[in-house]
Amino acid sequence: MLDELFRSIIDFVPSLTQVMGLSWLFAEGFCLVYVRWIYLRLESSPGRSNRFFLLFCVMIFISLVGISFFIAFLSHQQLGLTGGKRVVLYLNSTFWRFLCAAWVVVEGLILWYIIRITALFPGHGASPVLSATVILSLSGFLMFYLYFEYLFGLFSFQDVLGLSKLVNLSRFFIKISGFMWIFYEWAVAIKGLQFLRFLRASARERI
Amino acid sequence: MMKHLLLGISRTFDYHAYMRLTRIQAIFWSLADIIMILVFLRIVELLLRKKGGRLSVWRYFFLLISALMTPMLLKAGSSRSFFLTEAAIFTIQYLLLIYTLIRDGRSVLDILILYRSGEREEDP
Repeated sequence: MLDELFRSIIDFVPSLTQVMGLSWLFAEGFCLVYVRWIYLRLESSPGRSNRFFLLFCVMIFISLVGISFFIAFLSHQQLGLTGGKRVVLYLNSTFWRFLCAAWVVVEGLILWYIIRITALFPGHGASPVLSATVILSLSGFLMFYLYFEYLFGLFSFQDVLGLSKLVNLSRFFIKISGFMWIFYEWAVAIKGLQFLRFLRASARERI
Repeated sequence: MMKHLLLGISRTFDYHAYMRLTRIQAIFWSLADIIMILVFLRIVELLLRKKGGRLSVWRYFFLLISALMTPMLLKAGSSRSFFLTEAAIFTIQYLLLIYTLIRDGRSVLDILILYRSGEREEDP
């Protein structure tokens, strides 16, 4: 009885990959909520509250944690069935791709708010080219993501591709997301460097 | 067209191509992460100094440890060992970021608000 209970609990435990993925999403979401809070306070917009945004992020995160438990459970149930491997691969890879896409969106939004924060200080422009690049790249990426998921679903359930080719395809999407992370992270690093230089220069002027 | 492109990719983008590209990408994003967190810590330190505060050295020390671990990504033999190394690096860096935001986030905001109002007064 105790064995059975233990086994059914184990069935709900998500993989280490998913646990790490969710932790990284939590950390990035934390940074996003913080930079948005800083921006709203510096811009002094009392009408715009960070509370609803925070609640929205927390709800999405809790839902994702719940989904990861559900996927772990379904994966254990499906493994023994005919065609189960395909279903397990679809569930796990779709969830992982969703996390990758979510990191891209969160990092894009962090960059967006950092551009807005630095623009509030004199000497910093609104960086129209970078702002437009963020909007265009994020919308382009999201459209690609949705279309990719549609095709991946078709390839998975109409038996168009074998399992190893489906894995290759999923890995390809992860690498596309990787290029987006690199772009946003470098943009944030360079924006931060410019802001640090500005702070140092104005500190020297005041002396 | 996209369907055919993806079908072609599914045939050619194998595990080895994936790992090669992953190693190259990892160096680029790790470098960006290290610079980003270093700049962030420097900004926090500069702002805290205005209030007579300081940033302890151990935060830079942990960032250095994560930076020293980065070349290990190139040597990781399998995707599993790569993932575990990446997980260790990210965990150190994210904990550092979150700790700094929780501990110094409000002070940084207060100083930035003062800073901005000062700049506005000086602005002709």
